[in-house]
Amino acid sequence: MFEDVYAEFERLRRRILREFDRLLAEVSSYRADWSPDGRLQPLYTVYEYPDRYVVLVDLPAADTSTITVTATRTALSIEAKLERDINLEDIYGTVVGREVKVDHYKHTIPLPEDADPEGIRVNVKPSKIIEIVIPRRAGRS
Amino acid sequence: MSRPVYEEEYEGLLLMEYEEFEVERPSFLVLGLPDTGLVGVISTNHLVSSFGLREVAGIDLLGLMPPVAVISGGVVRPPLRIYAGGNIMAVMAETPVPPSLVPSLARMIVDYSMKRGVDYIVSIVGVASPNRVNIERPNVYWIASNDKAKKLVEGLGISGFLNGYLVGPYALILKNSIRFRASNLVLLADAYMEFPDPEAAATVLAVFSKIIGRDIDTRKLLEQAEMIRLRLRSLMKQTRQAMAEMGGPSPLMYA
Repeated sequence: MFEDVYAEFERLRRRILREFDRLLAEVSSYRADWSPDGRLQPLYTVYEYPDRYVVLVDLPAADTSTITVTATRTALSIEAKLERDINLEDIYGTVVGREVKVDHYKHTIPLPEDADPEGIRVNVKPSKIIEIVIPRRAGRS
Repeated sequence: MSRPVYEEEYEGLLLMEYEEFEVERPSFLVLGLPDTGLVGVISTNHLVSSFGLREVAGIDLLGLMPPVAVISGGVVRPPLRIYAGGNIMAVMAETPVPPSLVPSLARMIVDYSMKRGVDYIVSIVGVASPNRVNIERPNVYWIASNDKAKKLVEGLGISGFLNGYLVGPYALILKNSIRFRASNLVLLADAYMEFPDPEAAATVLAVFSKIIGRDIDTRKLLEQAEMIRLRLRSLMKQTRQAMAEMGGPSPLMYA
């Protein structure tokens, strides 16, 4: 019985750590959704299933032939060029971004400990949303 | 923001009408508040431009934090704008409604619709669908506050939203409508929870077009879908945070 309690505690502890990682990543990236070197940070969602993680990344106006996804044990990197340079002024309609052009997406998403990057599958949808499936290693939660 | 001809203040909200205007009957007030997939925002934005609706009023959030003045076209405009033309009125928000202001906003919208004699309040909502990425054509569902609102969707062949929950302003607008006997029809479309979803908006607009018996050309909306998704990234991010504060469903809720 104590083992059950311990396992439950361990599961919660890992989950809390993951949430913290995600929050930290969100907070540190909150203001920088573009940068003067032409980088746009894409929107993404992580779904957690018992046997896998599914990451959806929204890449509107990307040139789909240039999408690269690389995974290490701890992080997932996504890069793609835009079909053309886009002036921030055209996106937001304000003068603020007049001088800033963006031409690519780039972002790194931290991966949970039990993600198994070996078995990664990437699926590019016609809507320019990419679906990345990463299996979870068995025996851990 | 020109000086209003009429204003009312209610619990931290200031509603202003910039001019006298009439709305033809039966009148529809379409709500485009930011939530899942920004379906409401994208839909009302498209309605405003394709029907050529005029900005006639607005709602300012007096206690909004951080304190912000939205400047657009050289003038200060409140974060919630109200447009009108023919028998359509539309409310569009450029910022997520802070959770603390949701109850008063819901109250104000229902109250204002009743004062203006609006026949139907139509809420356009996205419903987070984890499988959205595999759905080519999103489904549309409905919820109605009363029989009058329910009649709008009879015969359109769309299913009722039988089980699930609404979170945020739309939830309280629905409850207040029931309480004050206003007719509120909620149209929900399968949508990406955290990405702006113009396709879901186009699908809801197709249903709304049948309801009002008037064509709504959504080709332009779909052609510009990628630019819309690009432009709405920041609003989507802010909305996601506001929704998280309200305790909305999270994709990380799987235990």
